[in-house]
Amino acid sequence: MASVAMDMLKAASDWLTFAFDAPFARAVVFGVNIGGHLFVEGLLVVVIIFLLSQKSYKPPKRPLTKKEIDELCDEWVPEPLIPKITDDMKYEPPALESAAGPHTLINGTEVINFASANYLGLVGHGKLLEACTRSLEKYGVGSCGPRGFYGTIDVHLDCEARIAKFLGTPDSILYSYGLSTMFSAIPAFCKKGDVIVVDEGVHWAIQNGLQLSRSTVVYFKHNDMESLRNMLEKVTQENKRAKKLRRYIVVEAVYQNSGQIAPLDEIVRLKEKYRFRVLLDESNSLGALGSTGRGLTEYCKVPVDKIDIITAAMGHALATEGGVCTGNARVIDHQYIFWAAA
Amino acid sequence: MITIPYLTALTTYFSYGLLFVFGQFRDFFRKIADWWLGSNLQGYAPICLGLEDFYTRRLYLRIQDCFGRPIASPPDSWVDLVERVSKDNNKTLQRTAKISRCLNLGSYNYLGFAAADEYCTPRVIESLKRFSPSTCSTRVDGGTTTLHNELEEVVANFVGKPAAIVFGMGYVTNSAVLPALIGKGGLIISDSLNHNSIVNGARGSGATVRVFQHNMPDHLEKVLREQIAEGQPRTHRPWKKIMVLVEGIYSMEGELCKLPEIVAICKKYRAYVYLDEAHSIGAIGKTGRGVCELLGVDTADVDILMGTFTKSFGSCGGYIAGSKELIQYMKYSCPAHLYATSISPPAAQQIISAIRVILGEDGTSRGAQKLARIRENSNFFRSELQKMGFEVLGDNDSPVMPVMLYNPAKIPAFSRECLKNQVAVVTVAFPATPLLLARARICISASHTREDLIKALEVFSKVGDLIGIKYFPAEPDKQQQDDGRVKLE
Repeated sequence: MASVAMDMLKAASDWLTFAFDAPFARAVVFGVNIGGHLFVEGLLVVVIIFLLSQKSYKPPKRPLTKKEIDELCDEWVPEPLIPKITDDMKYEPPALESAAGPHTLINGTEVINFASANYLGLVGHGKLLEACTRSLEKYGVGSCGPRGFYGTIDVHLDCEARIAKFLGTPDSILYSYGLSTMFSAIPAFCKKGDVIVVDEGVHWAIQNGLQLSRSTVVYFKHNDMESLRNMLEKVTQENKRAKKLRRYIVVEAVYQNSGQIAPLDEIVRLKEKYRFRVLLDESNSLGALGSTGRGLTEYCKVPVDKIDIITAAMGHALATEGGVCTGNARVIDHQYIFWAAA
Repeated sequence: MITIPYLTALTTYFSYGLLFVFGQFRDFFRKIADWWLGSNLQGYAPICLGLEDFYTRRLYLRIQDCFGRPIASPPDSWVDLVERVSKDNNKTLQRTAKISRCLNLGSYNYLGFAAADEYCTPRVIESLKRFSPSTCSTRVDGGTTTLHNELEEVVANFVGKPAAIVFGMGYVTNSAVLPALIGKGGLIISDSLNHNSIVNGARGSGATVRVFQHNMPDHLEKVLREQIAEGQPRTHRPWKKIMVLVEGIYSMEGELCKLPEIVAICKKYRAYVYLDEAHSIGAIGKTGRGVCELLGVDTADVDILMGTFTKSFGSCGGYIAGSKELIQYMKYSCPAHLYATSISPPAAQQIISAIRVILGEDGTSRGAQKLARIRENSNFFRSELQKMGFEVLGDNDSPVMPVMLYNPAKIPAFSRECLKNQVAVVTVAFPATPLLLARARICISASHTREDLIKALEVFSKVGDLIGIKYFPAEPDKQQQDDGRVKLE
């Protein structure tokens, strides 16, 4: 066995030596001495080039034929557009026959109204109705265009200035729909990658705004300052290096879902310690809290320029439609630029 | 299709390039100035990073005075514009007390209901006194009045569907209804030039979104077939439902949608059709019922009809019309119905009165006259502009006409020159339109008279020659054959 192997090896090495010593293996081409090894290397190079030029094996693609697509389209059955209507869905709310003031008419009987958010009783107030009638006769009902294209009426600008003066901020921006105030304001400031710490019990518009902004959202327990402090601590520890990271706390002044009031002085203390910006939604507190109705900042005796952004839907104490967004000087500059181009 | 001349494309790219380079220079100097003066952020992160608002700060602010012009009168055919001045090179603008009366070609006042109307306004004031400006509550919690119920019935009858639901704002109607109708596992196929509200609603719904080329039913069919055959991405399960989103009149193009073909394709492949008639309801069609009437499509074939009241009815708000079950489901699940304050009662009354005028139920033929006038006005204006050599987009009968400008410098030039001649126009650029295709958008109203339109045409001709936007050769001017025909240069 070993001797056969040895013989084969000897034969192979004899062949090799022969190849190396062959006459053409000793040629001199262009002054370069060609030894036999160059011949073998040349052969190897040819083999390599041949292999590289081969196409790699790909499993053959078989796109669907027209007939197959037709069959699939025929087979496909969509779900019905809406699920089956159950009895709960058939609920019809009662229809009011007069203004939604403290007493209202339903089906001819007078009832006491505990459902409307008419905190200051301004529904049906004579002065309001007079002012509205005057402006209806002058301006008509609609603005027939967005703010950028001849939809800005001088009363809009006057209203913004008046609200800013009332709250003590440099300027404000009006929105035409209360619900969209919060879910437009949040994406204007919070972009992808920012961190938002928000209370668990906020209402739908804020939740929707958070989703639209695509930022990282961290929840803390409803109205629990200890939980908020822990969350802020955790977020700051995790993101120590990111200086460009914008960080926000979103709270409501009076929570729509539970009725609790947020402890603003505590929140401002935490915000200044950890360098977060605060977004406060004062829909239910503007006009209702504070000795002159200026909202939670007055109630908790916090200077209003410590709160970065204040939004409010005006369909509660102010008895009208729409929303407003205001804040301190830096924030308003930015929002004006963003909003004007939007 | 818009075909941009080669030379114009080159000059437009060059202009934008120049603006970009200048903007970068100024940003660079601003960075140095900030570092020198020291930042006063006190450890807070800056609200806006460098490049996010570059376009706004360096390009938009230069021409800021062409947008957001305040008015001091109702946005009717003639409007009082408040003049503004800027002391810091257009960064901020202050109102002055001066007012100039201008011809309004920018507001969406298609049927002329913007100003106080003899039939609508007394009824609106009456309902204001009865129901007060706001109900202060959501629809389900005591914000539904008899007026709201009446409004929904009237709208459903007008549009031609069994039932309708009304919301307080048009934009929110799209953004809040799409997520309620379709969710994860569904497919949305939307036209490539759909409005921002539709795009937001589609994104917010969580469904997969695909786009088909603007107004091309063939491409829609191709996309549908491909998607049904492939199924959901990665898992290849069959789609739960497919919805196709189109608009009646596209606001930036002025074109009508090819509705009969699209509806036929959707029927064949069992997809649902959602039609957004924001600009077309009330303005086109023989009795003002929108694009379905104009193109002869049965409203029962379109699953969901959506529209807004801001444009033709001079009010505010949006509606969805569909089958009774659909509307019942919407009332149960749509967040804009459950959490938002209901539409203001005087605004609701304005819509009801406007619809009554359009249908002729107020006893006069003002509605029919208005519809005929807006059709005549749009066709006259469009044909005259095309004769003068402007590049005008859009179909016949559509009251929206974009006139192409292309170069960024022509945008403020056109706007300011027209304002000097007492004509107020709207110009749109990036990001509402593609970068190269800036345009001026003209909206015709039924309250424009023939003299108003002729004055506007004269001004446009003058300004067009000055700026150089007559991209097509003007047609040779015919001799005065018909009486009353004004000879236009």
